[in-house]
Amino acid sequence: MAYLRVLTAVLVCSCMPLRAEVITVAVAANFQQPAREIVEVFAAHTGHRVVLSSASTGKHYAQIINGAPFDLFLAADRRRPEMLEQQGFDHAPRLTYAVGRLVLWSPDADQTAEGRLRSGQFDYLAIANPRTAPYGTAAREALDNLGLWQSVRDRLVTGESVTQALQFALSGNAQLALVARSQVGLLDPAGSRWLVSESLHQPIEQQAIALNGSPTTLALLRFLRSEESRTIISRHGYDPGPADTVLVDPVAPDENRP
Amino acid sequence: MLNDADLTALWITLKLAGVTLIILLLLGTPLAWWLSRTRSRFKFMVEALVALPLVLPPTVLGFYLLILLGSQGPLSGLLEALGIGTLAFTFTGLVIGSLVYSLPFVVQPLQAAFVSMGQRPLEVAATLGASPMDRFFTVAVPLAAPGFLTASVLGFAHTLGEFGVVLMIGGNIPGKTQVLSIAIYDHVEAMDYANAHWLAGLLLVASLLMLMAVYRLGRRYATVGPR
Repeated sequence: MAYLRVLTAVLVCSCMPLRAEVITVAVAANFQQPAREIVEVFAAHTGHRVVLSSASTGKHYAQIINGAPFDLFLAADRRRPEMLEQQGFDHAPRLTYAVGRLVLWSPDADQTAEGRLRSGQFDYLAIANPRTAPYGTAAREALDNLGLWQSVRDRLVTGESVTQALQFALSGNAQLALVARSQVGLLDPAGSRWLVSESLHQPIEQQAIALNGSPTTLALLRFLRSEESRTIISRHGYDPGPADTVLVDPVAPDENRP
Repeated sequence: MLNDADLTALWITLKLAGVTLIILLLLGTPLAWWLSRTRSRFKFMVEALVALPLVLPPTVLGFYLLILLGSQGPLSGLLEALGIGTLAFTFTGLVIGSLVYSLPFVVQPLQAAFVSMGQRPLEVAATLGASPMDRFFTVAVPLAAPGFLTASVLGFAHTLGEFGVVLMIGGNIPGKTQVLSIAIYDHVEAMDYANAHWLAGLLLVASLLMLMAVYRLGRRYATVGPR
């Protein structure tokens, strides 16, 4: 085993570029774990080092427009990348790297989560804040389309993020929570879950945007579409985005851009 | 300007700070009195517990309260038996959180005031035939007036600015548990900076005025006071 590892190391080293670079990626808090696995593979292939900074997409956006030194932004929605693109971050087309799925989760397995929601047998339903969190917006749309929004409104509690919404249910204070499939996958099988149909809400698209035109940044952006990345992304409970997206290399880096 | 939801959040915040302060004065005064007079060897433990919310991040308090009040929490059986049910996401739950969060800001100034008056005025009152209750209400409380003022303003103002605890156990329900600081946070996250500015500015000015009142009145007591 040991000589195999040495051999691998030699092979990997021999194909590395002479100057390995360090790039910094702002990653949405919900995507931190898959991102870690993806950049590990990327680093093994290319020899570049990737530093991940995790926070909410709203905070990252505020940091980026105030000059934060990130190279690539993996957002939790498509709104913020769109806004950045309009502000001149158009080094490469935006890329939908993952599509989130909404799950209704109940800590109690005695009754199905769906049955509980439809029959109204709960005190509180936790969702992420519809005004600020993409999963919250999707949750509101789904409840609207199920014709339940008005009847559950006064029993809604909102977390600042989808993580907090799950926490409300995990601690037993809320009996139901509309959360991300990527989170529920990590829980042990206790409880009851119901995958909310995609037709009930706008797709929860998570988009990536390059914040500069450096070849390494664009290489990592492209790598998000690779088969290896897509496997990791689906294993974590996301749909890996449309496969037909073609990313072309920018013709020449724009020298005039700061 | 402030919209309806913001005004509601303002009202909830003032109500929360007011109710919390009244309960804290009722509970904190005997506790501070005991701490200022006791020779118990457990005094240091009680003092440490009272001071704990000063050093703990509010999210830690909120996290433990969430677990404590939850349906699997150690208090759930008792709460069910009393017919109270879930306290998280209710105004009562916020009051409980705020009591813990602002406790040291009320108890510590009171304790300091009781300690600094010394035993002498109380002994004199006793020789004049004042009962213990009499001594407390007609001698100790007036002498500790600056302490009560500081405790009241700090307790009120600290609850006003509370964020971490309510974020964890409040559930952000407009008209019930959405307080000013949460409304500001939402405005900022939604990039509605105009509304955020109004609320944040209001909180800033109110807090500054209250603290100025403490220091201004504190000075008057210091110059006109008993010593």
